[in-house]
Amino acid sequence: MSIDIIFKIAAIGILTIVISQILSHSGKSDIATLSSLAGLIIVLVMVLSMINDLFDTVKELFDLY
Amino acid sequence: MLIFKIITIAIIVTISSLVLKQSRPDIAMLISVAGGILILLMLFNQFSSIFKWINNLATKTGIDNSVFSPIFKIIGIGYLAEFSASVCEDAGNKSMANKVILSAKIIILVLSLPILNSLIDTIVSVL
Repeated sequence: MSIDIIFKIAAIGILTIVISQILSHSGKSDIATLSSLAGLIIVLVMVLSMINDLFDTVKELFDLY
Repeated sequence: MLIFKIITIAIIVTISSLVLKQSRPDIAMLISVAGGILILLMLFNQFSSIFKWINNLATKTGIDNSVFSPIFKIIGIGYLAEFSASVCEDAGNKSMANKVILSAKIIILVLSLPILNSLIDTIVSVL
């Protein structure tokens, strides 16, 4: 739970941009949209697991049930 | 010191979300959400020391814990509501942020009703 998660998400974002650029330039624009969508979903899943951790700690700390 | 870590994380998150803003604003927003969560998680051990102090204050003064648990709940709700409202506002969705803030206010009011009742009872008993 430290700074490397931010770098991971940024790296995934940059990778999806590069991949979709390459794919769209090489003519396969449908795969490009799919790859950018996949990158977004991966990042979303990571952020959702972080939100889940946040809610668990808040529930445990403030006994908010 | 913890504050240096938080400052560096905030600056790194802002820069990386700016890098991704032109081509992928959605991933940029997710990066700022992740950074916000990181900073909040770091703050929690500060919070636990505050709560320990409040707990032994409660045991020392003899006030039972039923008064303090709504206060902790209200702090938690305010904490989460402020975080999500600023995230929504960051993403440009001001109406959602206002909805979250409004609902948090109402929930806090509902939670504070028993405390208000006990306050009014004590006042009436004094008069």
